Amino acid sequence: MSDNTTAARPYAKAVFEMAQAESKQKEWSDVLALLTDVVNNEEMRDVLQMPQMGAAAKGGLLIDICSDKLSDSNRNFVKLLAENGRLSLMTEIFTLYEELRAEAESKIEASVRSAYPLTDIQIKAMTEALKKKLGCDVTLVTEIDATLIGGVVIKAGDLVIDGSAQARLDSLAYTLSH
Amino acid sequence: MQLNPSEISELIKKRIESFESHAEARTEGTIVSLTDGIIRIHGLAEVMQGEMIELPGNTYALALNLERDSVGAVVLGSYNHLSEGDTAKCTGRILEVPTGDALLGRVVDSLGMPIDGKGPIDTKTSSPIEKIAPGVIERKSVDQPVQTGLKSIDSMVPIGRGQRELIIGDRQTGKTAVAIDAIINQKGTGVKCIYVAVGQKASTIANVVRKLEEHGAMEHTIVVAAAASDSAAMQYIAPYSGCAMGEFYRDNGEDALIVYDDLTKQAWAYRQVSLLLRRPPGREAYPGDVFYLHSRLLERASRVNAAYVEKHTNGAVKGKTGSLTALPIIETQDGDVSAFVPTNVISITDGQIFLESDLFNAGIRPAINAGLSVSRVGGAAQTKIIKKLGGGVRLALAQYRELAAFAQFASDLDDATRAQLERGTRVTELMKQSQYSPMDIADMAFTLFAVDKGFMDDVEVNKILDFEAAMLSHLKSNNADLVNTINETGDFNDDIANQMKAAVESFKANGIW
Repeated sequence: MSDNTTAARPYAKAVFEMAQAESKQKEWSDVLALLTDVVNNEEMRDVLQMPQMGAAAKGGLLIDICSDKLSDSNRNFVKLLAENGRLSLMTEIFTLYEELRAEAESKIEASVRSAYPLTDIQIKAMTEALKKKLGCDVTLVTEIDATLIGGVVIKAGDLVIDGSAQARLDSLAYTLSH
Repeated sequence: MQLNPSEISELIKKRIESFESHAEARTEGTIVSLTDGIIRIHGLAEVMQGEMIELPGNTYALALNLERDSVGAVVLGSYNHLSEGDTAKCTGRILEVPTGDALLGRVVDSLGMPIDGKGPIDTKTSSPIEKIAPGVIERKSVDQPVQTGLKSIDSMVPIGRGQRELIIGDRQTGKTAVAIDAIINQKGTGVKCIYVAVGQKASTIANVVRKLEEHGAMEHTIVVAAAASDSAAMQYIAPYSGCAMGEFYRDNGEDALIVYDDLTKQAWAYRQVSLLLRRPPGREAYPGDVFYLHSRLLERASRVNAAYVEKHTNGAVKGKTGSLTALPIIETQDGDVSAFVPTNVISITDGQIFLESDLFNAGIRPAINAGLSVSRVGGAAQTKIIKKLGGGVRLALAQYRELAAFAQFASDLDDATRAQLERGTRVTELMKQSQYSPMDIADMAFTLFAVDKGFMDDVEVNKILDFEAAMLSHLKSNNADLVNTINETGDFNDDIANQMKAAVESFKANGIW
């Protein structure tokens, strides 16, 4: 998984820089999302792994499937990936591209898990606080997780702020047993 | 139903009262692979080299490889309960071990947890296992001796407090025996000892602990054990843990002696960890930083000056120097000292005690090769009397070795040569000493004096050790004052020489052996 990320990084960077130069960040984003979906389709995955099928044929197949949604440079990108045998990296390239895009636009997506649904006021307060802490625009994605018992767990990138009742009970259990 | 001591309601109440809980912000990652105790973690962007990583089930890992998209870490202890997808959290801390006097007399693992079944250890202080060694300004030169109690070592390869003296030799040449004798001889001197056992059989470690207990040496000794069945990571960090425990004494103005038994096995463990982390192999498949592995460990053995101790204790200890003496052990394969790890450690240390299987099998025990063993700094620390009298012994042995080689072919020899050969055989015989019987300074001084001044020249070679034993017991009963003076002061002058001469002559006239 981490090796794939390393291999995908130069592609993502190249695509992002090209998209930036042409101001087509949004378009590339959509295309990459589409390609990722296609590549991850179960039948498609089997086809792409067939050894008896040539690289050009695999690239051609992918282009045919999404033909009406691809521009010329999109097609070239798919051909290049097929030639280098890196079509399987599509997911990582998409993830890294989105990271680069978020970084350039100084945006970050944070997920909030809570035991009970959050009110709009709470979400707004949390967004403001995170904005201050991380220094960039924050989009919150909320999720309900009853196992937390109470409180919230915020995750933005690698940073995790754990304010759940479950975590506090765990640390109490640890303190008592050690 | 059985209750633990920690389940007393008072204690539980106290713990709940002192429990503080707040939301914690930490960097998290996910385990993406788990192989042979090595985990690869995705994420964990802010992790530091050598940082402890918290894993589920109160397990910790040590971050060793910081790569662009993943972190390679080695799990400390069991990893059976971990699986791919588990979360790994940064702790922001470097691995620490408990330190202090409460550890004396105990057997602990590489993390400082007791493994001798004598209950929890109540230590007040702890220290990170990896620390930077004191710099030049903070040091003081080595000028006090560590008496090992072995006459061949104390007379020919003396060890000073703060020195690093390598014990090197093949398997079964008595390397551990030398180190254990040195530990036993520290009884009552105030020197605290740490014995770090790496990669040995648990039964061997248990035997060493029992011997130390039998000779009353466990009271001043900490045993850090990473047995052969422990994970490679535990074997790799054991010497650093032991060193941290020893540094506690050094930094508080006391003296400590640490034995690493042995660093070859630690290098093997490190090689295993490194290869599993996919670091590129170099000579003998060791990674590129084996030299650093041992140099950063041995550089921490040092003598520090009073200013350092005062600064370190915030002025609580004034005017006292501290020291940590290291006796690393290296096992060679078939006498090959030019292998990678032996050459490295020889070049790092301040001298070596070279043990040989041939000598050992010839009955010369400790099997020290006097020609190849050296101490580069110990001479300055030697007790005055041993230094004066030991010089003759060293010289006699050197001349003997030179002559013995070609004397085998010569049919008749002149008197001077024959005398040197005779003296040499007697000195060689005299350097034998049985295990667990360390000698004090006066005993050593009288033995060296007797052979150096020729009092043993007319004693049969196979009676030399009997003569020595009889002489020492005679002197203890008839010249107790002189023996005590030598033991207390260690001085040597004409007056003492004359008294010693008279005492030995009186024994030769009246004693039996």
